[in-house]
Amino acid sequence: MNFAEIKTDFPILKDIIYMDSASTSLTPEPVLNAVLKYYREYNANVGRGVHRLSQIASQKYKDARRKVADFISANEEEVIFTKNTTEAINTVASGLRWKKGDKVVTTLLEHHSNFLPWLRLKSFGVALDIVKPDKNGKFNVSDFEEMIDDKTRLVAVTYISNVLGTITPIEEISAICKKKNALLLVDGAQSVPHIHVDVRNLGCNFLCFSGHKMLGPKGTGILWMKEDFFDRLEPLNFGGGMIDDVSLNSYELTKGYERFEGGTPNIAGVIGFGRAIDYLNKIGMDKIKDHEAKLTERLLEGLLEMKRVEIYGSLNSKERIGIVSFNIKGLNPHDVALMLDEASNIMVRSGHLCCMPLMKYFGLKEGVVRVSLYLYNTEEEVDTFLETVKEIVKC
Amino acid sequence: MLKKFNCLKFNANNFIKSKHEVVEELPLSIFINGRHFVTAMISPQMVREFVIGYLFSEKVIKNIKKIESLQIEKNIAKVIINNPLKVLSVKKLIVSGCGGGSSFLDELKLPKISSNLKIDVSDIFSGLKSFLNSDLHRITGGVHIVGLFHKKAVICISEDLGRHNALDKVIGCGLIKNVDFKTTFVVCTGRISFDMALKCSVASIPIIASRGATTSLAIEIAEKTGLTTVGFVRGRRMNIYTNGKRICRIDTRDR
Repeated sequence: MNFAEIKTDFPILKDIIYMDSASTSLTPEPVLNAVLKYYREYNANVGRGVHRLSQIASQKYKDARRKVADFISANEEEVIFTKNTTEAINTVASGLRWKKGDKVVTTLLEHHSNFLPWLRLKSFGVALDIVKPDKNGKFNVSDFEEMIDDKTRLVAVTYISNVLGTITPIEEISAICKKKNALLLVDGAQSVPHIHVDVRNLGCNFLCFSGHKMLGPKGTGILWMKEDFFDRLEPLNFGGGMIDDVSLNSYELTKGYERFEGGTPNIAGVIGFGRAIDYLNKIGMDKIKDHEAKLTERLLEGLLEMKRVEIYGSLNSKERIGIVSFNIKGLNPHDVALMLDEASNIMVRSGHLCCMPLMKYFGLKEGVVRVSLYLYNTEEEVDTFLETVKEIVKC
Repeated sequence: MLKKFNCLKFNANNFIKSKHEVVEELPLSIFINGRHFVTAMISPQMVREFVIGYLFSEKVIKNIKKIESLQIEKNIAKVIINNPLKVLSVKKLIVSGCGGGSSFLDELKLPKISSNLKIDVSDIFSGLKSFLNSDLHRITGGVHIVGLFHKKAVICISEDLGRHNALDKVIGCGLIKNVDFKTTFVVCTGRISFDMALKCSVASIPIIASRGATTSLAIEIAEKTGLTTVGFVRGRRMNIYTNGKRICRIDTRDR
């Protein structure tokens, strides 16, 4: 499939240039059709009924789980559907049985959703230690070595920063965690949609990511973990569809992933997410990565030529993906974002990007302007963006 | 595919306690769009291929893309085809031989095979030879083998206790591999009954050759659909019953 051709699957792009995919991606027509088809043709709950519609819905729901599992080279039984990455991380943070004196290590690069769930544990007597990156967002792996000790129960890191686009050396951190017997949770919200992620090589215990950032419907997320953790984690929600037996005084949770999916799930969303994965697979994650890398290089080169523009994060395109944050000296990032929309119908994100600790560390009171690219962006769009920024810089 | 069972062997005057290997049989229930469609007795290998091939040769699906979902759990195959609310039922037809076979026989709806395929007699001999040494066939004597070939190349070989099932399996395999059936031929061990001829015709496989016999109805159908039927392929002999123009001796000069 040609990258110019796929635009027809995103009719919304007729009128705008969308460069805010790190926040949430657009949804192509085949995914929308899959969602509609569920409501129109086989609307039913899953895993609960024997009637025809319930069987069809359950089968499609299960298909989606297999597709997600295959996408990250996991087993189907290890994939838990959540609302989003936030819910996946909270399932782990709230589900582990913490003891006073336990320690969690995280980093300054984290999105609030991989920061607040751990910060909250302070009220249970859990200490939080924070690894800081350098000014380009790069970690010194030995900092993890120093920070992780025998009290550390869990290390929570982002695979790719949602502000800087830089890639964290997960496998090296994983080796340290294994050596020190600490669990590793990886926030894959910005990585799984853009680069090929294989849980067999990653070496983490938990991988959390969102369907809505990878062409899927909103309200879809994933928590991946090995089955042997199921017993060590208390579910977040209790209710229908998660038990083997209930009596007046007790209950028995199911052995499988269902125990973490209490209540009617986002069935249509999950089925649409499965269709989104088919869509990504058809194009190929390697091709998507190459396409985005080309656009990112063009974008960085263009921005670097402009006076008054300050780019954050590594300038080496091998160390990053198509998430580029910048500021124009003398201008408020929100104003820049508004100007981009008004002048050229370009949608970008601005502000603290749910990363207040990082913004404070960098001394960026108003935050940044963030461009984030995906498979539907084109070189022409990047050029339009650069021309518009050039105009804004002039004023 | 084999299971050992206790067995009392009678030899001359004595009964001897023994064990014997017999071929496994699986009752596979196929559900389409949440409704039970059919239960087939099959050998428990290439189940996926069987389901796809069976639905195709039964004209439930026109091509593999019509299958939206196929999940196999133990002895249940769940299929979703394009219109989820469509209810399908099998028109029952009692067929000769084992295995269930084909369920429709409407002369007005018989397919027509258009294929320019020509093969040499040696292609059929080598095809048969390639699987007759099958361990399973030798040990149990209880399975049928069907091979799908393109010239001298094997596309797929399947074994099943039912010859129709074995044929459905190679057809399913061909569909998965996106094979152009018009350029292929089938060689099998079992009798060519009408349903074997019909399945080949539906799939547009132009030639079926067997070590076994052919039935009168198979020949009548083959005449109408344009299928080449070859029976009693043994040693250096074979009987060509219909559409013999596809079988030639191109290789004669080389010998």
